[in-house]
Amino acid sequence: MKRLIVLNYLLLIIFNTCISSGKIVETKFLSLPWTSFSYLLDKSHSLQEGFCSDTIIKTSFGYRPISVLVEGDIVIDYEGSKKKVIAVSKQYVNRYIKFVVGNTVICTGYDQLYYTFHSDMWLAAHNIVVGDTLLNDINEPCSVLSVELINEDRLLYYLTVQDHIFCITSYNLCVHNAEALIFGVSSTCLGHITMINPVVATIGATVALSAVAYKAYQSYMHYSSNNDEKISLPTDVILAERFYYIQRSTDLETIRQEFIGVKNGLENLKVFCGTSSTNFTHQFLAHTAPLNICHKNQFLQISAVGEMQLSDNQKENLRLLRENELKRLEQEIIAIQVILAFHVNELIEQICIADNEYKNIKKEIESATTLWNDNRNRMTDVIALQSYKADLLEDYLLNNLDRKVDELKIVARYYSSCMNAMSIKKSTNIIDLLEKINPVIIEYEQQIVKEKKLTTQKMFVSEQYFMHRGISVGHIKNETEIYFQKRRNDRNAQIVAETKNRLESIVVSGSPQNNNNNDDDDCEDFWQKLKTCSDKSARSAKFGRLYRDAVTKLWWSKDLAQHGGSFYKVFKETAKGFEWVYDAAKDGSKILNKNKGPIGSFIPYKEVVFRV
Amino acid sequence: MNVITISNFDQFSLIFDGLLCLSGEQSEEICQNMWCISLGEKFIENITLEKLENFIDQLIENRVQQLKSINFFEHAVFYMWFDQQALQLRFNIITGDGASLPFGCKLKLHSTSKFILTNLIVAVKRSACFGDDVEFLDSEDDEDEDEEEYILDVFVKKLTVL
Repeated sequence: MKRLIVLNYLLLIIFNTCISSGKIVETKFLSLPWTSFSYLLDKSHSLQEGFCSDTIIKTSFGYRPISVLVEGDIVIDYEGSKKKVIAVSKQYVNRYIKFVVGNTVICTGYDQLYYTFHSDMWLAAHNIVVGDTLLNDINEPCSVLSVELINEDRLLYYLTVQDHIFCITSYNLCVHNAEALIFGVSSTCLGHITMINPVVATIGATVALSAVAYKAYQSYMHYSSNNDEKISLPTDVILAERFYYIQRSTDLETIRQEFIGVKNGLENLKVFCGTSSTNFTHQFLAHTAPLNICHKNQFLQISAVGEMQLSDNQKENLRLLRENELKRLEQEIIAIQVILAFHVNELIEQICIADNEYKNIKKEIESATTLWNDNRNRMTDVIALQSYKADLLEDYLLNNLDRKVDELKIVARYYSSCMNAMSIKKSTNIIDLLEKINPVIIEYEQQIVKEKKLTTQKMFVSEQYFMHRGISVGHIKNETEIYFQKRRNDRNAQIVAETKNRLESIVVSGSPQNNNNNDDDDCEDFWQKLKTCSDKSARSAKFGRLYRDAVTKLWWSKDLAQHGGSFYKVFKETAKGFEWVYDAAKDGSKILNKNKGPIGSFIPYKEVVFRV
Repeated sequence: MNVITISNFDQFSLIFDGLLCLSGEQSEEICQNMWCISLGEKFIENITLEKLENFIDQLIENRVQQLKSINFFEHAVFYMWFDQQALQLRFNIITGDGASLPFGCKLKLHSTSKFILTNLIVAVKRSACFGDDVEFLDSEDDEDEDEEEYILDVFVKKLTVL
């Protein structure tokens, strides 16, 4: 619409009347068939699997939205067996399938596999049609009532589970998990770029310092008991935490420097600095700084001799400081990795957008060219101007595409020449994808060159016409260029802002995390998850908080006695109060009862304060 | 764990008949030996402390006989508590001297069952009378309050086979 307004505006300021030239003009050649960048890219594109965030998954503790599941959770497969979640990943997709089964709407990845009842085979979501029947866990056919392809951005979650199959929705539809992940740990996919925790991928997960000290002590005790030597602890056992911390912080600092080096290198590429106002790379990297760098606490600089003289309390404080320092380093590394991943992902995405913009407008441009050709014998200034404007627009769109492809090419060249980018290679697919994309860029560039040549010719024909008519169109061209230049700058600023928001949302929703679960935190993790999934909460003066699971409508409270591994009490609502249903373990799994008769125990409502 | 709701005195025999597992593996022992007893609404009206104490004494005697029958001469301990949240009388038998009972809270040990059973009777009778009396609040407050330290009263009895 904006484009039409501009065309009309420019038309008005130059010509107010329709003048017939009465001269036969040159033919303009129509554009070449256009192969879109997305199509070329799709050849090397990853599968789009998974489900939207609110899809419920059958787990060992009832139905849970996929977005709250984490590695180590247990899902239930079609045979009712418990299967461990190996990885949970996220992917931004630009299209997805929405279909209805029974009274449930399922939003799913384009390539997500479902098991079909009649054909007895796995079928990708985009191949499912209305009337197909999907299999559930009790071999029932579940009919698909509607199918729709939605061309919108969406964040999908996908699981990799033990033995590959799990059940979704209250119908327990059998679905296949995502392709086994290369690294076997949780990843975040931005659409084109996938990333995993860079520290885990490069040097493995950080070990708790207390565990380091304990292990050193145990090893020493084992060794000394074998040798019947009962002597006082040697320095390397007492200072085991120190040695681990020093080594670990050095390794993390090396990775951090690598990431910073790559980012600074990109930001300072001369080719980008010179045109800072028009290229995305410079604008984006300059405006997305990683976390603030804090100064190290002086206590961390303590000597080995000084450390050995510390009291137990001081040692505890030192351990805490060291753990925080390691965590901070890790967070900084992840923040820079996310920025780099976003940058490349956005460059590719922008080419796809510019390409689509061109493809969508091509018909209008072609009709303007056809109009020119059809009126060669009776060309009017209005038709000529309309055609010229269409040529200018085409020229702008092609230049825009060319500029973006060129930027990606420079970035690809930069990464391929990066000597010190091992951690990036190990933790993202940036380098591999850019390598793979190179032939696509070459093919695409050739196409743009050919098209630009045609456009230049068309513009020349129009300019020749106006020259013969004694009409100057130089200022139209200039005004159009200024307009598009401004539009390009605005668009870049908008993209930087949008990307920053998206980047923040990724950091909030969780960058690829270090997944070394601490058993001691399991209980609190489950409780926190329950709070998130709850739709109601209540408070009992005697028993503390209760939360109602939004899906099962059962109420949960912490087990005060915690007898024999019971961590939670689970209740159902009755007219009188909360009726006890079962005890649950640390991870929320039900502790099996051998019911010898009806059960019925409750917390009376009078003792409970509700919060809705 | 075994869960039962008692509606009349005859049903206590179901508990007497329960099999014992004394493998030394605590989770197995809890799974097999633990009982969670709820009292039926009508039964509550007829229940008295004496009758319940009598049942517990018989139960302990019954368990000792069971130990004798399997020639179990090691240490075993019977412990019983009132689970206020589930509104159940719960008991269990595990091997060992009971120096460390498998609870996650602070315990106050009792040498008789009277205190535990009185609490049970008071609680179930009171709860049986309460109707739907709930205060709803509009404000959302998701902050967990500081939890007070919970102290559980437990009746402990070492089972000895002479």
